[in-house]
Amino acid sequence: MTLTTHDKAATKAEAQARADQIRAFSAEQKILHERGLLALDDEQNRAIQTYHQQLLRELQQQQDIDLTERARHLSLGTQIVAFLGADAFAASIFFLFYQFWGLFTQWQQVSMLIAAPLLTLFTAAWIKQRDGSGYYAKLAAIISFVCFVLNLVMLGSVFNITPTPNAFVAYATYGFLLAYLFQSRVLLTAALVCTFIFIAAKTTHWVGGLYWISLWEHPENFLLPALSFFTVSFFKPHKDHAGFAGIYQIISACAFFLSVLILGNWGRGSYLNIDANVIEGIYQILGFVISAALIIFGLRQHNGQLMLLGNAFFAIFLCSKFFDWWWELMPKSLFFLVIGLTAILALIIFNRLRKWQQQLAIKETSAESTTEVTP
Amino acid sequence: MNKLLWGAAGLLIMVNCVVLGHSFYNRLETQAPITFSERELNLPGNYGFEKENSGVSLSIQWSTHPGSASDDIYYYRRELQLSAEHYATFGFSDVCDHQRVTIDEQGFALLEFNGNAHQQRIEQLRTQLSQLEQSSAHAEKIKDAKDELRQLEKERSRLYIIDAAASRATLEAALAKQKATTGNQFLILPAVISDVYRQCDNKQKDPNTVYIDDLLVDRIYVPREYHALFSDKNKNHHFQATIAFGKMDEPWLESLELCEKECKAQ
Repeated sequence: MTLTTHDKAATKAEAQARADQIRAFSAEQKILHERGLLALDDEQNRAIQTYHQQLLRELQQQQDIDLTERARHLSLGTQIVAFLGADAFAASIFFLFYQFWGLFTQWQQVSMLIAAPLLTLFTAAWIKQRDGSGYYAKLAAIISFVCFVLNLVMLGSVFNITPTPNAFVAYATYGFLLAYLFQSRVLLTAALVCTFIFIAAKTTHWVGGLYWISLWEHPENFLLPALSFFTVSFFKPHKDHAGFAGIYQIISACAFFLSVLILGNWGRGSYLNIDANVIEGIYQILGFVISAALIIFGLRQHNGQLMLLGNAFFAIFLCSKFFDWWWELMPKSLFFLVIGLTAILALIIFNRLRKWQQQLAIKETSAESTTEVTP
Repeated sequence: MNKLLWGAAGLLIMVNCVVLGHSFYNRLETQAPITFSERELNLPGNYGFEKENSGVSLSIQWSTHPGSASDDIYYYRRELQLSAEHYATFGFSDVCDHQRVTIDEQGFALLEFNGNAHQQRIEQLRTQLSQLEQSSAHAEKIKDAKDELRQLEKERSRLYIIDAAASRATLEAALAKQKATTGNQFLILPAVISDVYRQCDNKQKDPNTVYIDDLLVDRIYVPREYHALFSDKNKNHHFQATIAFGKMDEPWLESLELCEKECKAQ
């Protein structure tokens, strides 16, 4: 039995989905067999089992996937631990420099600061060649990124350089390179955040004529970059980089909604030269509309994360309005009762939507099986 | 993978070259160096994170020009009244608005060291002390005034920001007039300047008044060769440090020496 090209998964996500499909098939086959609904002869059973075992072996070797539910839970735990470990190493490196850098001459300091991110970069590449899981390489890559940030911050301190937002474009570029090199969503997130900060800082200066540190005073600085980066996954699906498309969408959506939320409650932070109350009203309406649109978009794309994000921000905008309208007017018990009843109303609506979706799915499945049976 | 790897390595090297090149360019040209003492350059405190920090940086202490306010003896002021011409170089609106958004702009500040501004401040306090003594004010008030005067004469910074504008050229023109009449030491440094908050209080507007948030570079790293001089972090050190400012207005420490007691006036 040889595997065909149809069996070969291009990405880890596809390989994992295939393995999950095989596990589900085996479990369902067992139940059907016990109920007398499906009876395969020994030869067929053997052929299927051999095929599945070989396929799972290949996928495991190529993509390091989880073959059992327990392994999956352990993988998740490993990712969390790796992230915490990277943060701890990064903090350790930062304080190590802090503790000993004064003992070195200026040129020793410069050499160490430049060598640290370079060495950790090549170490991460070397680890990646040898470790299929990729966890250790990602950890080393995160440390390399932190070393680069430390590199520029400390050089600025040693040479008394004027702070500039241009450092963020360097951090972002390095973050993107590391993220794509080592398939790290954490580094992609860091790169995106640095990009938003850089664009906002420059916009603050060019549009408002303000010092770049005041970028937080005008949340509108983040709206256009957020919208732009949300659309990245439309042009580049990132099939070879699991989870990257989701990160672009989620981080961009969070930046967008947080900016709208702030402007919906603090209209003075807008560049628009109109009454602050009008601005707040505009952004509140925008917040409701865009969060509802994100829910619908997530439904259509079968993207649970985007749906969840849209739901969360819709709820936040709604609670924010309730607070504005009723917090002072109502007794607190009544206020929270209203929020609870609103949540129940939302539950009813979502349940009805879910049942409608299920009915649609059943109709589609019936239509497909009718088409297959009919010659 | 190789392309991305070498791209990342190349980026690291290129960025560091740019940063080091920037610093080298800054030091190609030196504005007249100024010798400050521990009054103008504070050592870091020996607590919190600073306890573990083996690096030493001196932070520049300054105040704004005392102006005409006679009852304002707060020594490290931040408000500065400008001429209409200099105030107009900033994009601040002269609207009385109690709910204003913070507006910070990057501009330039004209600093005077150990000159008329400092002398004027001392004279103000001497006048206040004299008035208090003549009016037989409470002994505690007279003591406080005497302490304040002593601190101003012996301990407080002699560095004052006396003017500000959005462009360096505007201040250079003002500086030319200052130098012609006084011969004091001056500096023009980049600073963050904002519109003042109390502009509309008490129905009186303080026209053309700005708030100097900070100098863009207000900390100067001390090279390792001088660290031994500050080995005892709990002691109050008397020292003189010569600071040079370069083409990009970024400072560096040229020399540093400890004094046994108070350093001789420069």
